[in-house]
Amino acid sequence: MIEIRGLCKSYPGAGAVLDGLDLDVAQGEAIALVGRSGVGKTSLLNVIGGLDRDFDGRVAIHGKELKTLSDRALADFRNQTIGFVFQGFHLLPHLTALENVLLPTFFESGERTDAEQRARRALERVDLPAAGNGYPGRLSGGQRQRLAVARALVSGPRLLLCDEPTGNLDQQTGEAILDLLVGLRESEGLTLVFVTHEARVSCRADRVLVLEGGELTGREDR
Amino acid sequence: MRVGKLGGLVRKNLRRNLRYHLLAGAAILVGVAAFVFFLALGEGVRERVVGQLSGDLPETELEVKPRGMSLGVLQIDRPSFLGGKRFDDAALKKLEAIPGVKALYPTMNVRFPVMAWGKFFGKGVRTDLIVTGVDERAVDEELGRAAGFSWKEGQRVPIIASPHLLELYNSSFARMHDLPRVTEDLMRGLKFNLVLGKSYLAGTPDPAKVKTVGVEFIGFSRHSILLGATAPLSFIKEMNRRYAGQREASTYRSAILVAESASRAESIAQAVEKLGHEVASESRELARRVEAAVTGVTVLLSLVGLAMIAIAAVVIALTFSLTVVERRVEFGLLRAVGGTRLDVALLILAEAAVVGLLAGLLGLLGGFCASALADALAVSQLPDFPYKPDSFFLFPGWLLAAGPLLAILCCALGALFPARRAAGLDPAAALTER
Repeated sequence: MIEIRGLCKSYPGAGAVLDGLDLDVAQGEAIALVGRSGVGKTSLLNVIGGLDRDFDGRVAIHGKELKTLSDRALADFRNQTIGFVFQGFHLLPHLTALENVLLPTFFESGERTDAEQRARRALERVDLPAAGNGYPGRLSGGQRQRLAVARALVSGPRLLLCDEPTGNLDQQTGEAILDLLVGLRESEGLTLVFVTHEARVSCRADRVLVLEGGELTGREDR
Repeated sequence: MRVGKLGGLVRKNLRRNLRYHLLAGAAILVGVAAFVFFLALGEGVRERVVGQLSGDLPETELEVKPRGMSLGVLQIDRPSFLGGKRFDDAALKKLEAIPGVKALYPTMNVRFPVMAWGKFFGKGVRTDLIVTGVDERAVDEELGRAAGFSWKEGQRVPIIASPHLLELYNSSFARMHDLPRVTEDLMRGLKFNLVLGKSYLAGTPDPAKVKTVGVEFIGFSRHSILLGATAPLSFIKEMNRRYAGQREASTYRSAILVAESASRAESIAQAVEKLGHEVASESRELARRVEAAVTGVTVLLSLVGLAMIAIAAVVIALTFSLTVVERRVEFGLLRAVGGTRLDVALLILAEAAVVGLLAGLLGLLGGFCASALADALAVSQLPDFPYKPDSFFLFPGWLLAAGPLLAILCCALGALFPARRAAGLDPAAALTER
């Protein structure tokens, strides 16, 4: 599913955060990326998600080498293959819950016409069937993250990239979100990549990869 | 992004950023209202005032005069030692021989003092009068032979005047002197006298020659001079011969050339210039001058409107730049869920275009309301003047379309830089709020 060879990424004035990194992740696998703050976990996630193309090396997701894709093709690829779950939820407050979930469908190419049906199904899958017409501002933190998960699922992605998905949640709510994500992985066969510094998150992954000095070191298989 | 989805998103986004868009929209609204108001004013004045002034002679008729020279405000015939040519029968023959000329109607000035006296609405009136003569055939064609524009010794002399004089009298003179307004029908048949050989201004050169002739007003004609009266050419020729001599009786003021078609008028005008004369028309020149002035003022005022719209475009650019800063995460998210740079740019431009459309339509409405108010004020506050119209404004179709289109264009242009900036945002940086 994910094949990375010799990935290098640096920021002006900050030097290299990823330095010749190699990574292979199989379809349906759940991995956790851990490491100190600022070590490059989110940078790696952005590269995998096709949000950042300013890197050296080879990154192929689901057989597609990201650097070779045009802006349009990469956008389609993100839309169809990847779902993002962010620590800060990134819900649009002026759209209803249903509209937030529908947002990725606005950019779908092709003739898919069942967007609203899929969005309602996604809301059901995250256990928010009645939240559709409400606005995110009225939801609790846990419900907002569920809504963000529903948005990530609506276009039927193969890969879910979660950046500190429980970082803004209390322990109980965080556990519920983790249960949801892991459950989805099992039921849908999704590949999960968590960026986290919480042990309770990393222990739910198949593998925990430690990012240090720009490389993945101290690989731990659970 | 699909157009239908884009529309829904634009609507929601506009509602969320209403404060900014109201500010930007208000600036556009005022600019469009001013632009539409001034252009409609220019169009209205051009159509309703200049149109009246220039409607004197049809396109097939040219008024030819001997080439003149200007001494400050005074326009005089050019003397022969400066290349001036006498406008006599020989000159008329050459003009008539120009290819494409269907007919030629000479006009002649009275070369001796004339004054008029008579009763006008029961009041005795005595005044100096400028009188010219025009070929009877010109008026016969316009008023019909039955109007009786011909002269026979011993009979009352038929007199015509310019329709502009009627307008001038009704809108200014009558009001100033507390005289009743008149109509063409009321004036027709008015009888008064001309005193030949005598006037207040020129005195009485030869008291023995002073003679009174009766005249009758028969109608208004575009072939009459603007300020004065016009009699049959045969009468003026004969009187000039008696009072000023044979040479003056064969020197013409101008000639009206009738072209076979309007398309030949240009080549005839060129031939006239080659013969050493010039094509002129008092009313056409006046209309041209008024139109030039109206166009100048309209352009100037429209530029003010355009400048206001340009300032509004800057306001749009600033407000959208602010929203782009505030909406970084949103744009990053749109990219993350499948939007391209172009989608983000189109979203901003579509929002700006909708602000422009709404502000443009409201601006158009504002322009309408302002013009109605201005018309109402003009009716109640402005004194009457010649050709004062009921409405000074004209809203042609192109102007109705131009207002909103200009607003959309300006908003889109104003939003272009912010849209490029939003499209160029690094989504990874935006989402991590780096």
